[in-house]
Amino acid sequence: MRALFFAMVLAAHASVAAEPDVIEVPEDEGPDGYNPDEAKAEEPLRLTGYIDVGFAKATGNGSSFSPYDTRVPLDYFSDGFAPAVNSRGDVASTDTGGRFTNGFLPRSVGIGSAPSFLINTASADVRFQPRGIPVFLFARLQLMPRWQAQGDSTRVELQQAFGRISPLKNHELALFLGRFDSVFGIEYLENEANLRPGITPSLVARYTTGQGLGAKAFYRFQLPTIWSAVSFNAAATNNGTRIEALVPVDASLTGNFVASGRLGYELNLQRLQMKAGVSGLYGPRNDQRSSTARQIGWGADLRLTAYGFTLAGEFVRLYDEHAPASGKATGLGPAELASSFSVWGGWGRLSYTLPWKTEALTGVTLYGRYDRRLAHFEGATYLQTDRFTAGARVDLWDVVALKLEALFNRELAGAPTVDNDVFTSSVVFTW
Amino acid sequence: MMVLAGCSAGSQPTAKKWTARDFLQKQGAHPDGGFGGWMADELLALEGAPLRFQPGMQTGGPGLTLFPGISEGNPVAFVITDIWQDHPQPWVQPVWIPLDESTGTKPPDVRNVFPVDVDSTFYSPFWRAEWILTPGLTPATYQSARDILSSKRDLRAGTVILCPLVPEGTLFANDGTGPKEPATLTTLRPEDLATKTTPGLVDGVVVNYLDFGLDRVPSADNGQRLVDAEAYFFVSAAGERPLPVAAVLPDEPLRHSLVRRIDVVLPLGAGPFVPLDRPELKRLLEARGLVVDDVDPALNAFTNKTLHVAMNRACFTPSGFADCKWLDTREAIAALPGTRRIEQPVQLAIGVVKLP
Repeated sequence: MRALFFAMVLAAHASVAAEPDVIEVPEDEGPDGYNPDEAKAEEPLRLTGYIDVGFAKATGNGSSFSPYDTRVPLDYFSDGFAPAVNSRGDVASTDTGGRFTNGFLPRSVGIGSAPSFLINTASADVRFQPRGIPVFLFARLQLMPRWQAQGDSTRVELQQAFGRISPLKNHELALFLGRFDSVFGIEYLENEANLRPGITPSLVARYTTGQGLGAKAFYRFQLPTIWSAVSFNAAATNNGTRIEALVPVDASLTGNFVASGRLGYELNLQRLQMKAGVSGLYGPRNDQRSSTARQIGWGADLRLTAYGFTLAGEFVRLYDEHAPASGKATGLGPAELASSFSVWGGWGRLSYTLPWKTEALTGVTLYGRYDRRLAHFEGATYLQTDRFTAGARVDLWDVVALKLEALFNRELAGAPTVDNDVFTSSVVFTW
Repeated sequence: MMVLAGCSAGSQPTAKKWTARDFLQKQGAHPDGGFGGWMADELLALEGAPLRFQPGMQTGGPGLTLFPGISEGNPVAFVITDIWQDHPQPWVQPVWIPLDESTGTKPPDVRNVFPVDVDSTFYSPFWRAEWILTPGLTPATYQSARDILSSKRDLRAGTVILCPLVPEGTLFANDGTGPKEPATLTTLRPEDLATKTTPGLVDGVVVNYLDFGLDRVPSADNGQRLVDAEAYFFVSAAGERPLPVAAVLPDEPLRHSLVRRIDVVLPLGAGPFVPLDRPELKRLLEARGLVVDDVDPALNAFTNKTLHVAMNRACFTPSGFADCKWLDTREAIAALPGTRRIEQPVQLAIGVVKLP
């Protein structure tokens, strides 16, 4: 995990070499967003994980909902995802005061505007790779202690559980079956708090970073003469790539599957690494029963790393068709109607890793990110928001990550201006 | 990209919504079952098109059909402004009514601001009035919901009003002499019926609406949801579209503008009363397969029973008329066998006009 983190975010020397007889999990394949690096494992069975302890304070009432706003559904007219406090994208509050919403909400830590300690995630991984067999098993169980107005709302989630077969010895081909990370874009690579350089996901993470249940294939071939590699990553899943709060993952409601994929190119020079990709998504929207309403999306991503600086960015365009029947299913419960929806948005982040370290201080990274999102539900006003994020991360002994972050959210059009900035911190203990 | 096809899940009925704009745009379309039971040209007449319940042609732009209805035993006229089929209960959005703080009135050219247009999944013609008192109010002060809500001024909530958004110029059935109640052909008073569409704003874009006034439907769930009432429409057989006869509306019809369509299958021998001097109504009914007997001219005076359904149409004689058993009250319909009342997954927004 440590190796992956440095490769993705801090490092200047990411390796793409594969062991001759075992397929190494490629870093931008992200089968679990947390490179098991099982090729180097001493034991076939390994237990790993992390604990993410946060402390957060949101301004306003902790939500994006204006107390004056009585439009329905309220979540069509405000971005409920803006005041995120942790790497899961959970927000300080989704309390609408009884106003009607229609299934476009994130999960909430329920703190409102009160400063509060949080156990954001306690995550445990089990990995098993029998020696000499090209099979790898992985499961990640996560516990999210939460309190909501109705009482304890602690949740346990089997976030990933898959088996992987690497059938060809001399090719980077891997086939996955089960529940695994998204293949769309690059932000899913930072889903886990210990991997994310900052704390909170972008304003478009909700569309691309959800785990999928189904089948996936990854293939990468090296072009050593030009220091390059090209990768293909494709999945057929129940749900697509949205987060589970928006779309059910564990069952296909339509009976058809959602296809998603990414074509990636990477250039690995001694002092410069460049990774670029284009992603696509097509299939029925899995938040209702009709297979005639489709979700369509595409995206592009880029990462450049040189001299301690890393520039990363992603653009996403998605469209959901109107679902004909009443009813909408989400991870948070049923809603009334699945309206058509379109969004474009993206983010760009510049980070700098200080070029010195000690035995205890193993990394210091400063970063800033800009997000922007324009979304539109059928017949509702166009909602344009953006966000400036600034933060720092300090790694100690490669086991503890201290993170501080400030989010400044702005409502540019459609939504009323609300006070929904967030100041959050996180200490991630990795084991 | 790989697409794997599997079996489709069981189909559910399609949630449908039609507004006055659809009535206008879908003229001539005749889908199975119509739009919630009516064809577009039954709901709205284009300029120059024949009127449905009276002689003459539509004048003055498109006109919503004035349907015959009965409430509390009295004739009323109503228009159908919006229809939902297999659809969740309609919602109530706010409409913001800016008032000048110093005068408590709305200056000329200051427009009401609506949050959504008819394209929204969550549009309904029912709005909760929210007044916003503003110093120095001008027409430019509020153009959108964002302007209103970002002002962070107190909003004073009122009752639910019925203001369907309609294509500009859309009014009511009118042969040039004014809208009429279709059964009695009584001319409706201008104070009871909008005489023009009113401009409002959605995100700075002008929309037009018909104002039917305040307190038009009860609400629930902190005023976010509407409470509907039953309205009875006669059909010749189960599954057929409503007949052009008088519908039985809820009591206090002005306060129950959201109704649920309950079909009432005509009992054997039952039929609507049509005075001899209303041949256009006879033709209308015969076109739908009903037998309409010519009645004695002496009955022409009973205009307030026009298009009312009697249990035995043989009573439409001078001697038997007083003994007719009319199906023109909820109680009379409730007395029919239950199999003759069929609830449909259709809701209607109706603008009711009481007779002078």
